[in-house]
Amino acid sequence: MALTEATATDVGICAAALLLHHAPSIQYQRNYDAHDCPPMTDAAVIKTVNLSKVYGDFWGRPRVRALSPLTLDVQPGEVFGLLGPNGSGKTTTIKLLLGLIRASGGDAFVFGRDPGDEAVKRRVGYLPEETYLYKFLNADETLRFFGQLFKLPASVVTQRSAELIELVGLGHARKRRLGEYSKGMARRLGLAQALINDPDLVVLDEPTSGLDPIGSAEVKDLIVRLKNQGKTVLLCSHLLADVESVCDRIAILHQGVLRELGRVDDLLRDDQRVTVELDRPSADTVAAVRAAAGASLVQVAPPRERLEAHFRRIISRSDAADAQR
Amino acid sequence: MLSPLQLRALAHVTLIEAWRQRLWLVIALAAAGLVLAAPNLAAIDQSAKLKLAVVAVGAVTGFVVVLLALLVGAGQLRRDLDSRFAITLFSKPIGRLAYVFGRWLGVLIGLFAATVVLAAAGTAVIAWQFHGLPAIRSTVAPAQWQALSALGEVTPSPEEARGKYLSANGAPGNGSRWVFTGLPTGRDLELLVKVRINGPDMMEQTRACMVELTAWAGVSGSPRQLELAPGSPYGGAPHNRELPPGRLFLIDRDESHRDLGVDYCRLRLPSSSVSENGVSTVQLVRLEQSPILLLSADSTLVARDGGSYVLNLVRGGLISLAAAGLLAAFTLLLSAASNLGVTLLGGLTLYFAGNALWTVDDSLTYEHPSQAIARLLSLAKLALPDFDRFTVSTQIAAGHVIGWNEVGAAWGYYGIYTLLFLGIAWFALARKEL
Repeated sequence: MALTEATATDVGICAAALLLHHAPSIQYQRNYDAHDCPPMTDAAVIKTVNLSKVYGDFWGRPRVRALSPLTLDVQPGEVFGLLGPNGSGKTTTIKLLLGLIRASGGDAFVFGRDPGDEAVKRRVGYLPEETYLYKFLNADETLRFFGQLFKLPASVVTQRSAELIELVGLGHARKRRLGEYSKGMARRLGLAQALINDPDLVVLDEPTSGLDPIGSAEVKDLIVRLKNQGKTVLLCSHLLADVESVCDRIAILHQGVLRELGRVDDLLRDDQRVTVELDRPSADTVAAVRAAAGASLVQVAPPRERLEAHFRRIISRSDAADAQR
Repeated sequence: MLSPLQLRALAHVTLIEAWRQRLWLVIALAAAGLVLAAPNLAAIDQSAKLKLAVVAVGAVTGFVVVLLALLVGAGQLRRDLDSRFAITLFSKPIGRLAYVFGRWLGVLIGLFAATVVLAAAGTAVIAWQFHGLPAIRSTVAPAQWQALSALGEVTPSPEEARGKYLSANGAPGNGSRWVFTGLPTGRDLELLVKVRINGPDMMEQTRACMVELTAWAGVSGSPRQLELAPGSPYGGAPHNRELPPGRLFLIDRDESHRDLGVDYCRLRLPSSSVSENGVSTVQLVRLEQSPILLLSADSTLVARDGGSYVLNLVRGGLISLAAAGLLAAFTLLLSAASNLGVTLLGGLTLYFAGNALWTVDDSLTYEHPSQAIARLLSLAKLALPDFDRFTVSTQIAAGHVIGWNEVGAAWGYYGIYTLLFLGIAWFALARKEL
């Protein structure tokens, strides 16, 4: 909790400084008084100010508070992770940022405008938590359909569809109806539809759900590639290892309340400990390190390879062997 | 804003969905049914058989189109909401109005295709079975109607006499005159005559009467006796007896007989009987004493060629389509708010209620309901769309031309309801949180 408060204060100071020294590159639609001033930089891709959501019953009476006032920002080119257990308000936040539901309080801005604005939606790609696509269409038809919704010219849709289908590894199944797809294949196509408009902001809700480890790794590679292209990614996931490996900053939500916000490196750094890695050390060297460390030594052991990397290496080796045959 | 590209995308996906759900099987089965049933239609004579075939084509087409409007319309929105596809969809730059309208457009195009296929199949069967298509006639009703006494006195009938009958009885020589205006000039036309005939008392079943029909150009010209047109269903003397020139036998035909090809006696109205400004007067004189002629303003019509049967069918199809489009809009509206079962039931209810508004009229006229019930019934009549307002199938079967003005009127009438329903569907969807 202390960390959260400190972060908010720091960001507030930054915003004040920027307001003094920089002309805003994006004109926000609403002005705030000094107390409501969003504590953030002016060029944020996503900005929420005390954004909250209470779901009501049929008569409009408040039923569930899904999101308590949330204030955060996501900067251009950033991979931002939204973490939290089930029911923590992640998907609600995403739906608010996509203009799919109305906020009960506060404001949300995407590219400086209302999230429901069509001009905003044209720059956003979204992969929902579950892959909801038409089962009677094939991959080509699905991407063409979404391309047309973005009013893209036919030639652009055709070219981009072909590229994306190859990118997500569905070239062999492009003419098969989605009803015949496995969950993982549908997920890959869902990812392709999220990128059909070459979005500046990609919102991925559990992108690796239903994918095998290879597929998950490819998605993570893709996120890194998107980041390198200057895209902004809002990533929502339960798989903390995935988030840790690709995100620049994270926000942790619990019971609709923002519990922590900051850079992954800053949040995970343990200044009280030091790891020393040695390449093929001799027994004498290890003994010397033990002696030097004395009582502060916690563990001396060979580092373990991560299971994901091991799995990928095995599969790659098997693929290479198959190719040689 | 409604983008044509987005509307096209949604309409296209609607059509693909309907196609891949094999709804075309319904159309194919109906068309096959028409082809198989046509040769086995049972009727008194060939013309009645033809009429029956035309009615069957119209009825089957109407039924299938309504069925498809309900089935396709009801599923669209509800499936997208239930499967949560709407979440993916509305994260894209598409407004909910465009979505509703695009979906409806897709249903409408599908219904149009079904109408075309069934009408084409029906027309082909009719042409094959009857070696040609029925003639279509465009008619002009008389502008004035006058009573003619046996002494030759002419009494103008008041405007309120329209829809009523003039009883011509007693001594022969009485009858009626009709003045037509706005007739085409320079070519021969057809005069259609249909009267009701009663005997002098209920016991005597006289159902035919010899009459003389004359016509002249303008309001006062020299009368010219009219001849039966070739192919007239009746008018000649019974048992092949000779009739003096200008005389013909009319037989009893009441309001239920509306077929221009079968129920009207057809006479040739020469171009010389029409003035340069398109005015012609037709006179009917009763020549027998005992039969009583019941004459009305609508006893005579001037007919001309109504153009192609197929084009008439197209216009009829467009009118049916307007009604089906309304039904599809209503089911879209229901599916935005409720589940599939309620949507289907609601659509059917509207359709049946809209087809039975004449019973509301009957109740109001004959049953003398209480004031509260009368108001409720009047409100229902006002609020519900009347699916029986444009009698397309009957008109086509009766050989009447369906004008573009009727098509426009149908789209205007049903279009208001359609826009209202689509508007409410949009509102319901816009309020919905996904």
